[in-house]
Amino acid sequence: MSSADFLALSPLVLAAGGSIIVLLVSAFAGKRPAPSFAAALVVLALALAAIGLAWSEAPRAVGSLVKIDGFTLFAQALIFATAFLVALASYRYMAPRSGEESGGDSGGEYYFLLLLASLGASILAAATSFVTLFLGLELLSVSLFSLIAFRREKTIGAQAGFMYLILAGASSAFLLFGMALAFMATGSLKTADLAAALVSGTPDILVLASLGLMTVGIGFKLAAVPFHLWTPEVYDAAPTPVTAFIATVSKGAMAVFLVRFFAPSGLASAGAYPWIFAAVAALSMFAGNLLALRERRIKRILAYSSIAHIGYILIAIIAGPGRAAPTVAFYLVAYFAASLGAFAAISALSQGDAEHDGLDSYRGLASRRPGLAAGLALAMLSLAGLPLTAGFMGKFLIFAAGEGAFLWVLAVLLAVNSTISIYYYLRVVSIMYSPAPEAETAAGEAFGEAAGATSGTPRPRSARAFGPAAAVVIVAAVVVIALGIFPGPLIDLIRSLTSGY
Amino acid sequence: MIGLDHYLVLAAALFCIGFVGAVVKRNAIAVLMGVELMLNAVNLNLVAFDRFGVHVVPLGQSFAVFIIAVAAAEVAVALAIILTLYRRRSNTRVDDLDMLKW
Amino acid sequence: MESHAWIPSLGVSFTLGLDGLSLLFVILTALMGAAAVLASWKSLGRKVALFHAALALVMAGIYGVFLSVDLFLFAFMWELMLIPMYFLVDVWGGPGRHKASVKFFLFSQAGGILMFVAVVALYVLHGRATGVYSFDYRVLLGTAFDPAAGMLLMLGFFAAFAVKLPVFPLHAWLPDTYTEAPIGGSVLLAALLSKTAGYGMIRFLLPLFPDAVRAFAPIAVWLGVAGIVYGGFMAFAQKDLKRLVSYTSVSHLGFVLVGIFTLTAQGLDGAVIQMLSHGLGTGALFVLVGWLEERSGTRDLDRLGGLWSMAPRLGAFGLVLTLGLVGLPGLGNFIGEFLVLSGSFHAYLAATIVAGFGLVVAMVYALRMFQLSFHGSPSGALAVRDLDAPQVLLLGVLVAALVYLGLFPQEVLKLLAALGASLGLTPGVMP
Repeated sequence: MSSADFLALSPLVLAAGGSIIVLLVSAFAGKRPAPSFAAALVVLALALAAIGLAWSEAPRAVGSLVKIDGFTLFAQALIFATAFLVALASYRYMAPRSGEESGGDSGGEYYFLLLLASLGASILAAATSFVTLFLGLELLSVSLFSLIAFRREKTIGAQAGFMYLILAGASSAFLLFGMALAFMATGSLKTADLAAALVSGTPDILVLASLGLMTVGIGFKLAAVPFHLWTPEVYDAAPTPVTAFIATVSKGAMAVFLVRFFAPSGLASAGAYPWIFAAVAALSMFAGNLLALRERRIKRILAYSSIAHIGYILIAIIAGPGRAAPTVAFYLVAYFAASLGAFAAISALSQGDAEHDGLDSYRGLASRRPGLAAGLALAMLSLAGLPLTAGFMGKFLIFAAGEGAFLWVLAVLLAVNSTISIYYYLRVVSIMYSPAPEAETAAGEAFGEAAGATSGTPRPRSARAFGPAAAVVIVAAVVVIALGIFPGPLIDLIRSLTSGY
Repeated sequence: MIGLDHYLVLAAALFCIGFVGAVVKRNAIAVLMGVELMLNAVNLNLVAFDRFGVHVVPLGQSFAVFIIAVAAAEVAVALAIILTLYRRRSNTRVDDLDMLKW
Repeated sequence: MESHAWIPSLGVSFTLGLDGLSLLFVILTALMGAAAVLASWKSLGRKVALFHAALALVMAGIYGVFLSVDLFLFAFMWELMLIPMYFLVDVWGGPGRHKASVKFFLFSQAGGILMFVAVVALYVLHGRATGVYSFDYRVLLGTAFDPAAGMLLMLGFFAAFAVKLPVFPLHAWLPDTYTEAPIGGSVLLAALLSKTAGYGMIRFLLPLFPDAVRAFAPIAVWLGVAGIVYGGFMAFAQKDLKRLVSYTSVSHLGFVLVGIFTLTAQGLDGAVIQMLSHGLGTGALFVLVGWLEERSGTRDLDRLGGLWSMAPRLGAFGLVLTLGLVGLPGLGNFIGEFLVLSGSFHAYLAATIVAGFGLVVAMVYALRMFQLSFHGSPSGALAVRDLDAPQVLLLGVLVAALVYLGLFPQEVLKLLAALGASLGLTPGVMP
């Protein structure tokens, strides 16, 4: 391995080494989570800085396992930056819980697991071989199992973690079985060879079976319909920052892999494959948006909304060479920013014992916590794709990526869906900006916030003070608005980075 | 003479048994075993390709080692979670995991 | 003309331009925007700053729509109007505000996003045909389509405009939203938002898709006529004063649609004048009704009555504006409706006759409204203060503008004259 290889991989190396350091820090830090938290932030910042180093070597293939190119580095930067923000949003949220019932450990492993998961996602975004695909995926998944079940005092978290584990394990097995068949047919573990076999003339039955089996595994990770059933349960039960991580990094990394797999080979627009994508995209959009209409809990609403957004992204992937990668990259940034803003706002509200989840507990939030309410509203409007927000530009790019009657049908379906989705996004906003019910009694007591606001007693200082999660809300809001008004620079940057696709 | 086809059929059968086990079993440990069975079916496939295939480099075997290692990590986490659940309600039946509805 | 690069790599620019047509609507916007602020001066109660922020944002969107030369910017501004408008209704509206605001938003958004898809499709089609990827209106003008594609794109634009105007079967959101909105919101909705649709049709629909529009015109004319008659009958059946005024809007804006799709210079002129006078007249009427409700606590026609004797200044303005609804010569509506009908007379005789019948219905509902609310004996506990000086001034300015429009329409028509020629419309006959 040459020094150039090492430079190209430096973000990954830093993240891997740094995660060990964070684990050690958490072991020696006693009961305080702060040192591990700080260490994790430093490691993530360093990894982010190392992207610049790696850029000097890009594009560079390291063995047959990974290829570091502009698009990969962009995705890795996005992943590390998101993980940084998720860590910030977690600090207060996880802090009061880690001491209880956990035998006195600091909860610092949380940040170790978070780092490990981002490392897995970064590998996934760079993978050009089945081996790295599998390793990245499993590194991500195994960390997520523990993260979902992290709050041991809550049974529901452990249940959801186990459920996610079983489903992820089974879907990995499908993915692996597909890989094994592809290996048999092509004699290679490189993803590009499978793509070539699929594009060339009439692929034999083994190759097709392998693609079918792999679709199950990938679809599960993306939570595309019909492999989406775990989403609401897991989103609901996981700690809110972890949910943010699942919604953004875990899905985004897989979407990046898909683009890298499909776009260069032209496979996404050849033969029957676009139809498969189109069907999954359409089903995901409709199922996600229609099911979200019935939900009364905000994390489940966001779960269904994420299913719909995966549908939108799949449309962009079919757009084919030259257009898929920039569109997906921009859409991911927009979607990440909006999702992070929403989940960070929920985390900021949920500090203390009560989870702030039911929509009713958001009634009148605009008068109690105007800043957070505005941030959450902005995130919702961006997810809905309204102008002045990043989501609008993201949808615009998906529309603009379309060519040919086939994609126009999908574009119109997307238009219909985005109209449906506005209904439930706006409901959240509308509830926040409607006045709080006058007589806040039993229902209000359950939520310290509401009770404090209506009875006039001051709320605990900690729940009110400006915390790191609120900072994340602000950052997300700034990104959402900046991209909504001046998307040009980012689009140009993405275009230059993804010129190879 | 036992050939590649036999291994493939065996692997496919194991995969299906594992899948069915994971879906229908009510005990968390048994569900986990089902998933592991699926992963091992894949290993069998990969190793068999290397043994009978025309490929020169034994890629399949090395991949299988990766899978075994990862599966071990997965089991470790799974057992830890099951243990947590068991401490809370002293059984490992999936039925009681009312979340598990799909 | 003011132009800045916005997203150059996608051919999006921030280009604003002002011509005669835009100028008229910008003046209307300035006037009615001020009216909306002044009218809701005392009636807000809570979150006053937020209300005016939302109002200002709607105004910004409306100005943007009237001035955009770049189609992306136009679609952007079009959607931008919606969000704060939704909040205006949802936060400060009447008791049924949640349902009304959601209905308004879903209808508008569905139309708006179809238009957005059509804009992008137009951009892509033009780019593929010529290699120039741009959203600039002047560049896209004269793009050639095959008829089916042109028709689909035209319908995409039409969907957005039809919801906003509203055109007859898509008007379902209007009565609820107009009725539940706060005073300032109703004024903006009635006076300005519906005008963005008419403006959009004249500015974009006709020049960009001349062939598709010609094929679609008969349907549109009959939809307009259906709106005129339907709105009139529904207005007649209402007991709620604000709802009644809302339905009269459906009726009046039907004339706008008819005027535009006659594809004659007269029809077009008539449509513009009708839009301006509807903006002034109905906007003022919503202000009046809002104030009336504040004073009396009701909009129910059965409970109102005798206002004339209690509040003569209120009554006087009510009379003038009611006469405007009827289309009395001397006020703007008369000129607008007359020009529209004379424009449609040649090509659509039957439609013209039915629309003329709509005018008779207007006479009936307007008189009924006036009779029930201003005449008669005051019922029970009704006590209404008369308008104070600033309020008289506000309504006075609006009515003066309406009268000016009725007496000197040629001043307005002069501004428009260049427009009809540039659209290639000859007076009186189908092109």
